[in-house]
Amino acid sequence: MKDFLIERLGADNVLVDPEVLNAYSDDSTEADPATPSVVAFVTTVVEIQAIVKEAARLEVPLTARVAGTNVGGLTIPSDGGIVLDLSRMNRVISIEPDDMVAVIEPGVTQQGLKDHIARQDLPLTFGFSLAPPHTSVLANALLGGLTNRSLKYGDQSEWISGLEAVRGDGSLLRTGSWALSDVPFARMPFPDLTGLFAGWQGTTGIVTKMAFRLWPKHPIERRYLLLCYDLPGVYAAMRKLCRAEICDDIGGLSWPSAKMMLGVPRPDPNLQAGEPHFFLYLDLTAETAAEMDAKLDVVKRTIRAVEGAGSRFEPPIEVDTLVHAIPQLSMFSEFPMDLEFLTQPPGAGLTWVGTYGPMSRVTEAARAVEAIMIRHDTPPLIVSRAMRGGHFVVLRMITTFDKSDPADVERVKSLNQSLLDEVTHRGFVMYKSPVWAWHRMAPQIDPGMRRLMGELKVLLDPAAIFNPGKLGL
Amino acid sequence: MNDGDATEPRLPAVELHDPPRANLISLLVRAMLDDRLAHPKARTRAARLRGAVLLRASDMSTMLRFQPGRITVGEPRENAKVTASIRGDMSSLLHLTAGQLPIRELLAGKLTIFGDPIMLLRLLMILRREPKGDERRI
Repeated sequence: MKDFLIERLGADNVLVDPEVLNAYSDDSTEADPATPSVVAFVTTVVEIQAIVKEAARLEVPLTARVAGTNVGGLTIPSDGGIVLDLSRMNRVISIEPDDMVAVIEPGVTQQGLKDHIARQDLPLTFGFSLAPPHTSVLANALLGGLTNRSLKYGDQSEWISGLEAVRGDGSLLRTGSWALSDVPFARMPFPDLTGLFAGWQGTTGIVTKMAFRLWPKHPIERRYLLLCYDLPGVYAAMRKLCRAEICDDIGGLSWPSAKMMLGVPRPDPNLQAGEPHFFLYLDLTAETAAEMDAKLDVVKRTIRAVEGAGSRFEPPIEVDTLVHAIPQLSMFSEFPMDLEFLTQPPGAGLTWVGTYGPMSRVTEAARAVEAIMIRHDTPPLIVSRAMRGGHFVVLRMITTFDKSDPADVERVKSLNQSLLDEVTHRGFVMYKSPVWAWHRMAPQIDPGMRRLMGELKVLLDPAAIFNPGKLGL
Repeated sequence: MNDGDATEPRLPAVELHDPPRANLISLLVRAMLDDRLAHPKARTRAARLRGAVLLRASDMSTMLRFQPGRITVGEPRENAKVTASIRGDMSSLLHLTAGQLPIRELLAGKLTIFGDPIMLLRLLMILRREPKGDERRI
């Protein structure tokens, strides 16, 4: 396979140096590493098709990746397999302003797409994840990640209006309206075959292009922080604000996040006396100052109503004011963010149990996971975000750890298992689920769905070369 | 923390008491001081200041002690001697340190001050950053 790749791509685009391969063998999580035999940089769809055909013939596993920052071990390859590095396929192929859709390649990063839109001076934007600027837009969408536009528009997989993908036999297909129309405006009205690739963690094919929805950019944008002193108040405010339909984003970070941003990498797990429990952040946009004022008025009335029920908040703080007072917090003011306290923690370990779940149960679930984290001597760093108009909610428990310390690795393994069990029992479902989590959830997943997943995998990837082992496939 | 320039006043080291257990207001104040003391004027002012200021934001407290060569930040000990104190909600205190004069907050009772007003004015001169033109508040 190495000779084939060198012949096809040129020696410069094929890496076999053990030190380089080692860099592709691991990620920030507690997942076990595995070393590929080769890393191949591709730039065209034709190259990918040829490599897939050859890998299928030789039954060599293929793992596609860009930044490898999924925090789930999802791009850790199979031992001896091939890593297909798609980072050089980084063209924004087209943007149709009137259709609000971009066609992008896998290597287009959050920063790259933002810059591209800015260069064209388009009144459009997209949603940013909390991942660093160099991460792939396409990968986050395929994995159903969340962004700062997820309250309005759902997880990012919902924004895919069509795909181009290479199947296990090397053939190419397009999904959605794109299968007939030259404008990939919607996934419907044909059968929604985009779903054969979105949410599959790269196990059914390699997505080579994505039609991706953009959203209007309004001239006035503001972000406010609401410091809240109790969990019921946090989620009551979140629910009420969702129903007011005035926010672009409503998220929350628990108290350890602020301390970590302010230079304490591992705060004491217990909340100190008098401290706020959660920081809700609200993103508001408007066409006019009057519209913004009206939205702010609704925010204040909503918070007063929640306070009337016994919760306590600080008056809203505009993030610009906060950043002006404390420039160290500027990482929180603009997307894409580089949250170095998470992406470069001491000990280099970052892991999470990230789940989507019912809004009706989130307060109790948050309370339960917080208690588990404290029991594991871990600062209860929780991220929450209202999704899709408030129809569901994110509950993500984040832990940093020392990857070089086996005891610390065991601590986070045990912690994550306990957290997953707790939230699964409460009806939450892990997204971007790592291999260990899938196996832990599998006995409780509907057997009919699992069987169909297996059958579809065989149909799309008969040689079982695409990212083997993920999702139990 | 010293920048090694002999012509500039010696930068007082900012020491945070027990970082893992430090409360949020202590960390915010430490971050502000680290930022402001990067500027020579603020360094000169801080080096000359002596005394202890209690800062109380909502239910959180922190004490800033200005001593020769160092500034300590941490939760106040019981019965600690205080030169001056400021109390208010987080938002008002942040606006104050962001450079807005606290007259409106004082009149509205959102901020209260006790003790040596000169000490507080000097501290404010250190902590203040001038607001940018487009900064607003609600």
